[in-house]
Amino acid sequence: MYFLNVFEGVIHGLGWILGDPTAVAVLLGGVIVGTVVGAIPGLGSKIALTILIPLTGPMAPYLALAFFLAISEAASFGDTIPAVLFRTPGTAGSAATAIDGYPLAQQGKAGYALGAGAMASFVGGNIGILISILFIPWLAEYVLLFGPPEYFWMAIIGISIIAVVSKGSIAKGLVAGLVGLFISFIGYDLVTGKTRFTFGFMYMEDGIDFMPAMLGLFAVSEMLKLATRRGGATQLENTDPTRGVWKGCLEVFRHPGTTVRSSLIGLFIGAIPGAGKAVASFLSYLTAIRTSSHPETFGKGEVEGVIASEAANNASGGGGGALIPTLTLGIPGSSGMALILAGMTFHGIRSGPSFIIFEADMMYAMFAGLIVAMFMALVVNLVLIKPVAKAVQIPNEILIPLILIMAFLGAYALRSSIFDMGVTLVFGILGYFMDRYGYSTVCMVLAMILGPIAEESFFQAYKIGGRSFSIFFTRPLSIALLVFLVIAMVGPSVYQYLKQAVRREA
Amino acid sequence: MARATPARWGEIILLTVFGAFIATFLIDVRHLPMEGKILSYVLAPPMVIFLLICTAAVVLPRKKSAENDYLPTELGNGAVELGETPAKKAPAGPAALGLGRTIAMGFVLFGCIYLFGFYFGSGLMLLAWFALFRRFTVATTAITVATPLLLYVLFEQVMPVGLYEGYIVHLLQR
Repeated sequence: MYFLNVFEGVIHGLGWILGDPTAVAVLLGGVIVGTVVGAIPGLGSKIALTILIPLTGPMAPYLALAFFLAISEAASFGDTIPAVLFRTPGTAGSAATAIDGYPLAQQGKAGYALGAGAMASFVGGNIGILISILFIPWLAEYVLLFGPPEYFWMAIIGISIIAVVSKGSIAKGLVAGLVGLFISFIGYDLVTGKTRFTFGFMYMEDGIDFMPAMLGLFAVSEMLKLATRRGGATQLENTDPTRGVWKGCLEVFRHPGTTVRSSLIGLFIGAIPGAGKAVASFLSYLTAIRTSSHPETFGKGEVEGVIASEAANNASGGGGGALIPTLTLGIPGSSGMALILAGMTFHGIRSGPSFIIFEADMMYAMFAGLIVAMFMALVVNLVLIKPVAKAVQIPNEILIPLILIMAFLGAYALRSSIFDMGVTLVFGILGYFMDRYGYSTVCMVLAMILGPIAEESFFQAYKIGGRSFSIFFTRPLSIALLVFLVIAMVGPSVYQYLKQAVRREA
Repeated sequence: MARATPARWGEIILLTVFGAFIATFLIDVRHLPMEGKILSYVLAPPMVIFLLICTAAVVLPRKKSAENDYLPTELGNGAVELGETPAKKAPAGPAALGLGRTIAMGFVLFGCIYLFGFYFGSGLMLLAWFALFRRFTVATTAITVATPLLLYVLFEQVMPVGLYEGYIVHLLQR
């Protein structure tokens, strides 16, 4: 009965999408944009999302969500192209693809590798979507047991876990998270309506909107990083990147075990907040080596390496594992999901069990749009290999000013405020130096998104508990979450200490 | 205090910025009504503790080695390595120049848009950018002309929402 309801919901959603030519056109546009930005190293879906989210105001919410996810998933398709052709991953998720993809290109089998990568992305992504569609509504029923105290702890866990698993030291990650929380407090206080930390500036009374901050932290800071390195000068070698594409596609079905196993690894890793596509694809790649009957061929042009990496890359991303904590708990599974969450908030949708249960039609339409986008992404990636490969060669000196203009445009489009443009610029510079010195920008962004949720839940719980803090420590779910938080924070350090102690004894 | 080499000045500046955030937080929070203060007070001690930990990491002497100078985040080609990542040097020479110029052009873009509006301002900024990099070709000239035109067509004709017209236009209209 449960599966029947899910199936019915997806079919109904497909009807919405396919019955509306505008929706199909929007999804195709998202797929093309995602493929191109995924293919250009240094860009990625995050920049496209931060710039495009403010411009999707007129769209229907379900279509906007499908559009965002289409960009995110298509980027995981497009990043294979530079990884194979130029040994330069388009995004971190395709770094493992380059290990075997580039040697294949050097052997004149670029099309073969690209075909295998595209089909592996397609299959992996669809496995991720299928399991997410089945799992998310089931999980939402249990998340309904969460009350304000649990939501408060979930928000704190979300920020803390990202600090633990992100690059750099945990302390610096937590500092970045706490500064993000502080920034989220600027403006009108939720409870009393008084202004906080505005210093009398009228512009600050509405607070620092997280969209201009994210445009700065992701788009502008990324351009500053690009400005410090040479790029875009790679030349396409004298090879036809379309030859052998279909043969490569069929290769995925000759390795069903690798494909399915890699997809499941990607789904599982993607569901862990902060783990990311890079971890998923590398873990899948290493597993493929360990389980292969001919591990010595990996690194020299073994197509199974490309399949393992790309299947995990897509299964972990926008339609798969990362969507699970984002939709069920409102805790983003990755920085890309943080942007999707920002997009949902922009369209007035609050993520969590209420969205899944009371807006089920919208959720299924979103998944249907994602399924349609996957088919489109496969076709686009196979057909547009040559033009996309040319786009990878755009010099940085041309790319950077255009992206800066787009970022400022996106910032202004939100509230028609010049102040937001200034916020974007300042956060862009801050984001560059934060990233450089090991302060996680993802932590800061997550804290800015989760801060209002944490504060609202905190005060709701405080009042429900009769103005006593005991409600945070007496409910069974709250205690479980608190224990999980402590283990997540302290666990890695304890593990390292024990490991060193054992080593010393040995 | 550990020697403040140029390699660590950026880290010190960043910590100062964060410290200023937190100091502002602690000073301003006293003026809030009690209801609004609770969460702020709960969060204040951890903020201070963590900031002290990171400040100590900068201030206290530590073993001088290539690994300690910077905490790298990702390799130059966008790839990410699991586990320990190798140190990379501070941006120097052409890289630092590229960074400085891009930050400066960001301010130029802001100023141009503020004064002249989006359409003219973006065109001016592109002109300044390609002049700075001495990269006037057919393609870059076409981009300099086409970008403002495209923005105008998109935001004034296709989606008639309009963009900011610029401070100078407002002055002239008075």
